Amino acid sequence: MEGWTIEQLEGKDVFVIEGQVAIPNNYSAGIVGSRFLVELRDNCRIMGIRCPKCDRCYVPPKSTCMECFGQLTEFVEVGKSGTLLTFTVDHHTTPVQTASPPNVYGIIKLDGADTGLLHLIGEVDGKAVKSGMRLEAVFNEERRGSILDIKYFRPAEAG
Amino acid sequence: MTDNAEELIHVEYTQPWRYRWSTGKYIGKAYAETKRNKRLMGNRCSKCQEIVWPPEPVCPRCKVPTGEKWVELGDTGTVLQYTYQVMPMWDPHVGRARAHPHPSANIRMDSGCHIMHRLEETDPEKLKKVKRVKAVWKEEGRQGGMDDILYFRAIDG
Repeated sequence: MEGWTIEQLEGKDVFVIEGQVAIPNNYSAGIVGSRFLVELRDNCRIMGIRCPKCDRCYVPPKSTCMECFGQLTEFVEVGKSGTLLTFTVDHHTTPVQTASPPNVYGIIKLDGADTGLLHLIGEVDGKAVKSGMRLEAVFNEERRGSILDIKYFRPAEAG
Repeated sequence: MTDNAEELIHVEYTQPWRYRWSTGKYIGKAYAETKRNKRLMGNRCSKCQEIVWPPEPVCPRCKVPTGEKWVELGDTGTVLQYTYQVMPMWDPHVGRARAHPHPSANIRMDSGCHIMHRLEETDPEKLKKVKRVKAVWKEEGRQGGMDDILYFRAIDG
């Protein structure tokens, strides 16, 4: 957290003010989200949650079914690979990005899941990414209970 | 819900919000005047003839272009309202408390416009008697802007 500067444009009665403000945040993942992150961190497992009534499996898990609004408790492990539903290639730079652009973001339907998971796609050129391609999760060596414990998804070997 | 004792994950982080803004022509003129000449300058609306402070290209009352009829606000005014601050005021430049707390005040300048600034007097009892005030300017290190005035000091009459 640094200070701020004020700079007068040369020869003009115009000033530019530059600095930064620190915003403290505390985000809680909740009961279901915590289980998902703990499994990612400790066991490299991607967990979904199933609604037995609607026979839908949500990844990432949520506590309420989107169809019947029932309380969900049945955790199931889903596959580490899946199918790319849709994607975008981002060339813009913003301070919240974890990697420098271009970044490829995809929505991936993992094997056994009925919903898509948003994540980064790596080890592939943006131009070569296609909807419907097979992807697999790459886990980080050091994991700390974050969605970024999955480093990214990369194209899976055929078969 | 979970098998073992539940571990709840939460993430604490401090997010830096970077900003960069330009004063533009009108605020720039006011900043340049405080920096160079230790003067508060506003502009007078061409329609309602009121002083616009801080100076703006459009009058907030009449919604017409104000023009560049610059007027000096002067250094003296009368305190209309003040707060006695237990908590120090936040510095909006950095989002932290100011090092030296001073009471905030709404001051009616003799030229007719109202400004918000700080008062030198920090004693709550003595504050009650503060009526007429005069700006105390920084002698060195003026950068432009309202912080070029340290605070307003009580004067007689």
